[in-house]
Amino acid sequence: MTFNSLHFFIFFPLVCLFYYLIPMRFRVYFLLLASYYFYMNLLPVFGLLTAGITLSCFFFTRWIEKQQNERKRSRLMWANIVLIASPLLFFKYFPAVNHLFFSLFENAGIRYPLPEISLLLPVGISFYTFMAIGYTIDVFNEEVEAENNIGILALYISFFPMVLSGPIERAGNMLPQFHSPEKLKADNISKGLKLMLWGYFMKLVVADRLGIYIDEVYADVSKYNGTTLWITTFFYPFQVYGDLGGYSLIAIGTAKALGYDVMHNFRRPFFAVSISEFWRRWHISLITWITDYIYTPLAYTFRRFGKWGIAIALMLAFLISGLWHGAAITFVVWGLIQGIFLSVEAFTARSRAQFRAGSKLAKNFVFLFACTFLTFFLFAVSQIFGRAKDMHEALSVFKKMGLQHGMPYLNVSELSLGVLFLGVLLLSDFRDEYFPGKFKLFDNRHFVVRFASYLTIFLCIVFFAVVSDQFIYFKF
Amino acid sequence: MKKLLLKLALFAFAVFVLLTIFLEYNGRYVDSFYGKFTVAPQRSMIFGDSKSLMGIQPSVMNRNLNGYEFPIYNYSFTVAQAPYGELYRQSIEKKLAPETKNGLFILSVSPWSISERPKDNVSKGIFSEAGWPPHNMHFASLHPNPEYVVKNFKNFHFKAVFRRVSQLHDDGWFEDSNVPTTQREKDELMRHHEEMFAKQAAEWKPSAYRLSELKKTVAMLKAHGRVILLRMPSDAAITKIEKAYWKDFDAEMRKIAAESASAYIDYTKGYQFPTYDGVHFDTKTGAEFTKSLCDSIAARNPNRK
Repeated sequence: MTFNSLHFFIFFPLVCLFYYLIPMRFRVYFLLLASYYFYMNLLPVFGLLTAGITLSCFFFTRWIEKQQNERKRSRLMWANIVLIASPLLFFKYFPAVNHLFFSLFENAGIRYPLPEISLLLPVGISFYTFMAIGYTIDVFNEEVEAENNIGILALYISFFPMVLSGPIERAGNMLPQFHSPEKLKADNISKGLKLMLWGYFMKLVVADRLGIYIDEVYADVSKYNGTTLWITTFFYPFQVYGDLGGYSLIAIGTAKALGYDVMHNFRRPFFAVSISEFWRRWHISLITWITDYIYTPLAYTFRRFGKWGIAIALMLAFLISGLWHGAAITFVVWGLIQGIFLSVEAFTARSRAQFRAGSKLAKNFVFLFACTFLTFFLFAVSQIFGRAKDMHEALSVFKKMGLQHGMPYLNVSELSLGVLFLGVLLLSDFRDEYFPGKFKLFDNRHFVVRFASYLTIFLCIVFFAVVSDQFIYFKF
Repeated sequence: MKKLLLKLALFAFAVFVLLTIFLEYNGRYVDSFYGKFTVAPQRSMIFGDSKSLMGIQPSVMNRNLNGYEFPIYNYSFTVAQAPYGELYRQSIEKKLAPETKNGLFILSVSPWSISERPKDNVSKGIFSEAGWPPHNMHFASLHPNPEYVVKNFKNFHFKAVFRRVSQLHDDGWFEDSNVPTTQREKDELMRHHEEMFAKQAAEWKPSAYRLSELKKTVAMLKAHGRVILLRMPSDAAITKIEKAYWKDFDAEMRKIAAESASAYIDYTKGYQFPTYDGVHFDTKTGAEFTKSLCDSIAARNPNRK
């Protein structure tokens, strides 16, 4: 079941209704059942994965907690991490590694013992595996206590709003909430529905509309010139923002309606004035996870190398982030590029700060706009590696963008609508960025304004949504 | 909480009212079939695929034929949605006014509408058309019809309201003004259809099940009036593919007509009605064809003109 299926529009109100009708002590178990139904509805066998990860985490974290010997605790932690990460590694990376060996052996004229294997990647596996790993490390670091109630732990791993595409929430935030669920509050439902409404707008009206043009071009880049590919490159980050940002809001809103607070995943990323700031605003749950569990330990390990240690830690952290996105060389390059951008910023942080202070540009609108644009430009260009199906295609896009110019291909009817609604989205972000608390529509104190805003956005979704059940981040 | 529920109810009501108003005035443009499920049960109808959906104009029939319980309504869909079978028969039953005694029912037939498709599994009761309208509709005559909106929302083309090049008329006829104008475009479409039918001929097979369902449909309709089996014209190249695919098709149809005391009108050689893409008529040719069809029907029953 996906968030934009008819099935979900029946499932969600029923879950809400029964959740609040049954006694408090049964609510989390009901939610657990609903979550397994939601996930197994995609493919029943997927439930075995979440169940296996839950069991492994349940027993290992309790052993870790009971164990006094630090070395044994560490071994237990690693054993659990290896165990719960193995399905992810197998489903996500085994086919790619196997393909690599298959090709190498075939080129050398040697018979490779295994055939080419294509496995169905369980949707959401990267997300809940990271949540389970994070929980294990948190227990090891004594930041959270090992969960004694297997039902609650199972719910944390499989909570239906987050199981398919995150946000990658922390046990420290979710477990206490599952232990003491909130009572029925109209405010929670109202806030949740508003978030969901805006999420659907971002996903179905903005992302999927832009996606029609982008997918058309990327279906065969050889047919299009560099100018067209520049346009595609410009719009792709917005498509991903609408897609994952929209999905995240739907997930956060769904959880909120049930009384649970889930961390926000995006914070107006296209108003960042540097790459490091951008990564504090983009896919926040993944980046903070990588920061806490990969970058910080690595930076600590390499601390004796000074700035170079930070650079090495950044490169490795974003290399892992790239690999998390997919087992392809394009994602490795994508990760390394982000690492390079951030390392350059780390090396130049002081001189840039001095320059801003000396030239009094810190609040200069033109300067800020230039920084924002440069940040967007660097990210958009790096995203070519995130969108192209292989290195050959990515390099061909760059070559065309540099050399082949002319009249662009414009799917005017799709693009004009996409740009119109993207304008609405960016205007809303602009307001929140520069005029927080002002010009509110969804939260306006006048009922008529609020009502008209909901209705307008809802009807925009009805009339201009592109109906597809694909989310870009399902494949990660 | 009460306040929130009230607001949600008000919101739902506002959405319902606005959507209803929109569909009332623009439904004909944004969905090819929505209107078919908002009209009352009918007494005379045309059934079939997109050839009859676009090619038979009820208004022309209403003007040129009498002696039946008219007006006639075009309850045709597309070849993907409405092959003859249990599902289409059930839908026809829902749309038929039960008290009808003297209706006229035209069943447009072709080898494709009586074929088993690769996704069909007759023994297990699996049919490729299930899940599409009219088969996913419980309420076939509800105005407005929220069931249709909910179940078939993905088929709505709301953008079409700006272009308005095609529309479903109140009598069920689908008028498509977005037809090719140059010979090159026509040839391209023609080639596309030839390839499509050649592929279908290789993958589909004549279906004894669908044939028997057609007989049941004829028998059911016969109790309510006169039944005509009609084979509409196609381009010669398409007809050739159909002939090779199902050699005895016309004989089969004649047999069904004879057994049920119905009529079979074969227009396969009606080349005076050229199609613009091998299978479909433009508005003008459709009107001429419908007029000719009225004459043919009247000629087979001279008491009713």
